[in-house]
Amino acid sequence: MEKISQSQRVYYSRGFENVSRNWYKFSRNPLSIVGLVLVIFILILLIFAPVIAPHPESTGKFIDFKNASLPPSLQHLFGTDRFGRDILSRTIYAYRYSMGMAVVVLLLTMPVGTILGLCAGYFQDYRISAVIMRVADVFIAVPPLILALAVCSVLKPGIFNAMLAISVAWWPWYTRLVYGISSSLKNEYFVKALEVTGASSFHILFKEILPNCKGPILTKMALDMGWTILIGASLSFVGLGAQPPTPDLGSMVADASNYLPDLWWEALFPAIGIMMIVLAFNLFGDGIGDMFGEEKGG
Amino acid sequence: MDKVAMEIKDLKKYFKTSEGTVRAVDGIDISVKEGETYGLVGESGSGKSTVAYTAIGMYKPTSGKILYKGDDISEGYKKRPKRIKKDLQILFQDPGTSLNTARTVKQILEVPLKIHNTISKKSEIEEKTVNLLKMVELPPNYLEKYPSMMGGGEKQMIGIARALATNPSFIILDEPTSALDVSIQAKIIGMLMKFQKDLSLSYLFITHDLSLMRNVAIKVAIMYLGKICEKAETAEFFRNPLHPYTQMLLSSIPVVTDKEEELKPKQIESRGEIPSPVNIPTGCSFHSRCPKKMNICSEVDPEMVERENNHYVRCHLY
Amino acid sequence: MDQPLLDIRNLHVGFKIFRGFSDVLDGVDFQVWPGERVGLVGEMGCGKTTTMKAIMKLLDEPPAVITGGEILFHNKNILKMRKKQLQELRKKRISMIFQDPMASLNPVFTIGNQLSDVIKYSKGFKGNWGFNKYIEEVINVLNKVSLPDPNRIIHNYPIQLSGGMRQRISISMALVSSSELLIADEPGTALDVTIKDQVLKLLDTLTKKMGSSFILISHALGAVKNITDRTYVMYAGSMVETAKTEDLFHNPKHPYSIGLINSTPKLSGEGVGEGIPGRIPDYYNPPKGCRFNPRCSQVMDLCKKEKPKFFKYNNQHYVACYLYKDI
Repeated sequence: MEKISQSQRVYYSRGFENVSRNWYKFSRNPLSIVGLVLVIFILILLIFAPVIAPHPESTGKFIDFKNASLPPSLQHLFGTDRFGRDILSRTIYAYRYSMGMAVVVLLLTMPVGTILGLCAGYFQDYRISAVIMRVADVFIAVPPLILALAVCSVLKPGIFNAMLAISVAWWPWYTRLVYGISSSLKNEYFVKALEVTGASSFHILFKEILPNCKGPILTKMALDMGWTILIGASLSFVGLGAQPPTPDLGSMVADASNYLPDLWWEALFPAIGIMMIVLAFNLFGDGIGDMFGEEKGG
Repeated sequence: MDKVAMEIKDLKKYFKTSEGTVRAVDGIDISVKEGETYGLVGESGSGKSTVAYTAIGMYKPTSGKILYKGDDISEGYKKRPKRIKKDLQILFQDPGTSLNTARTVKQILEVPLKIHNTISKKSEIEEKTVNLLKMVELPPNYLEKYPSMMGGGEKQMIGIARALATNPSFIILDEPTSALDVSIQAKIIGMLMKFQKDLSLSYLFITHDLSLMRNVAIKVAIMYLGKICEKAETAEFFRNPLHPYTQMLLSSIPVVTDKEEELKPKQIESRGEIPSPVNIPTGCSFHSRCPKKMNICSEVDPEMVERENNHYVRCHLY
Repeated sequence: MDQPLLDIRNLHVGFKIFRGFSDVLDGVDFQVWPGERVGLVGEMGCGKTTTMKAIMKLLDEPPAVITGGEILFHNKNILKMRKKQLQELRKKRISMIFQDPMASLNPVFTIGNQLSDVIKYSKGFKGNWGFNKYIEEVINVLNKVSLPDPNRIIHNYPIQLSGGMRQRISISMALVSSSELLIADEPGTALDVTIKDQVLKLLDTLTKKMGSSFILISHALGAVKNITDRTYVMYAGSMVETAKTEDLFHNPKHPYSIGLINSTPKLSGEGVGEGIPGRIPDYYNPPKGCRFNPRCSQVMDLCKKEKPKFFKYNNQHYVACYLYKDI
């Protein structure tokens, strides 16, 4: 049994080596590190929002017309909106909703899209693969924002329905991504070796092909965070997402857009908020992509 | 001990492509006895790999039969009983793609163990994988490595370990060392020969390297464009190569000693190109390159005849 | 005698990547005289392609780093040449034939198109010849490599031709400019044995006829046997033995060379040999002294401390091994 523990020792040291190798690949591009720092910063904001936000009461039903539409000051770093609510606090809380929505959407679409893609790629039986891929094609043919708008307009406006709408538009991209990998791996020797030795299709799909998709899927998820947040903000910009008084980046910008350019702070800061979170995940996602990519040289 | 392990009878495998029908395998008869190594030699387009893949069940034959220890296994792997899948294994040519790069060695070796052996205790499986590594002379810490962390030779050794995991009695070796350097090839071939002796394995050994075949196989068959040109026992084959294609092959082999140079036929030199398998010449498929071509060769396909003790040739010269 | 045409002296090349520094070429000494045909034999990973790429300055730097040595061509250091001099070198004097013929042929242009481009380029665009003259020249060149029916081939795309034909075409591209030095990196390796034999014989005839110097790189000993005058054996980043080809095959001295020849399966039926124990060294942490020492059956203490230089065994036969230190 000594030999087993030796291999376990190697396992853990291999894990450490993996981490340092992955960090090396991630950090080649300094922008990825910027992305990572921003993402960490955003996560801190999310977790400690009640503590960090200076005026947490602004996020609920709160009206203070005395302090309405004040420009940025020491008391209200981002100013106040027309109801007197502190924009900084609302922006921080709005991050929570945006991120939460993005996470839920990805947790819905990724498994569904992946499973469909795996099956479509591996079972080249036209009934399975053709049906799945053609359905996916139909959904992909419509630009995601428009599709989400269409779904949302049929349902009652609200955060939950917005998530549903984005998921409907988003799942086929995962299917396509995984289909590409699955269908190309299907013809590789190692899959053939597994088939002729008697491995079940379930095993081949989920234990052998799926690990090969790990890199592209995780990269896509990291980048998708930015996209789903953007689409969510777009939906709420037109009133189809979170409803008042829930703070939401898109609706904050929408409300404030009527008052530009006089009350510029009401629109500008939420907009910058959107930009920052999307940028953070894009840079971070690029780094993740590098991390899973091939090593050069040697 | 002279039982026949695998018998291939008049095997044909055609593929339909946009350019026409590819007659990859066009009537092959092979008989491998238990415990022996049967060599199948050919260049690209000869169909040798197709024979291997059909035998292992990846393809269904267009016509003909494959018998394994009496059972008809021509139906493809899906219809093959589990005990035959356990007993008949394959080792692929390209170590880079025959192992899943996203899985560790331990995970790769566990799969056949879990499918075929009734071992269910986790510790027993781990022990068996360590033993498999020991058989191919690799240390236990390889269990946690990914294929990308080792060289081609070691990957191929993992492939051998995987093939041996189910305690098979017959292994199809599809060019196992073609992608490897000579020094590693020697090691792996040595290992394979040792396993054959210790575990009474039968091998169907496919390669394009005649020098290797000379030292490894008891019987040899040469394939060209889907058909066998010549087959005989190895010693007899090299002593007296009859078919012009065989002679051409032998004269093209790079050798390192003068003794070998002497053995190469001098009067025949390689010429011409191998025709595309979509466009096989009429009559004897070799006539477009044959230095001893006669008129009949472009019209009629020769039959296989037996010349001397078990030495068969398919050529109008005989 | 006069100077060597190509003289690589103590070349050190490494690669800077994640795990540190991969010290691949560890003092390569390699010479080719005018008109000489030299073989370079080494297994995968020994550094032969890196060496050849260094000659043509084709290494991507980074991650490659040339840490020492010089490559002299006609006594001028290639490593210090400017871009213009290098271009001149590659155009007129040194040509390379790559292993995979598909890699040096553009799939979207016809053969005639590509070859006439090469001819135009090598003639320096001087004097517009007119379409017909180029085609004439192209056919001329194709005839030199014994391609059947060149008039048809010039209209074909690379994908329509067989591997053997593509290899011949890439050879003809290399021959267009009358080169002083032709480097062939594993020609025909991807091809069938009968076709590879034809390609090697073609190279043999052509280089003899043209009188250019020729470097033939291969991982298989047999390929260089009848085509080269002199051969180097390379292991883990440096040359371990060099001799006249005949001498090397009849009388190999370095334990690695002996091991290689023993491991090659013999047509005469003497078996496959034992192989060479161990594996090629990890370039991130190579063995000290002679890099072959962990695998050598005749290793001595000195081998682990200091790297042996070339010791002269006899006329043109040098061995980098302490077994032959004081002959």
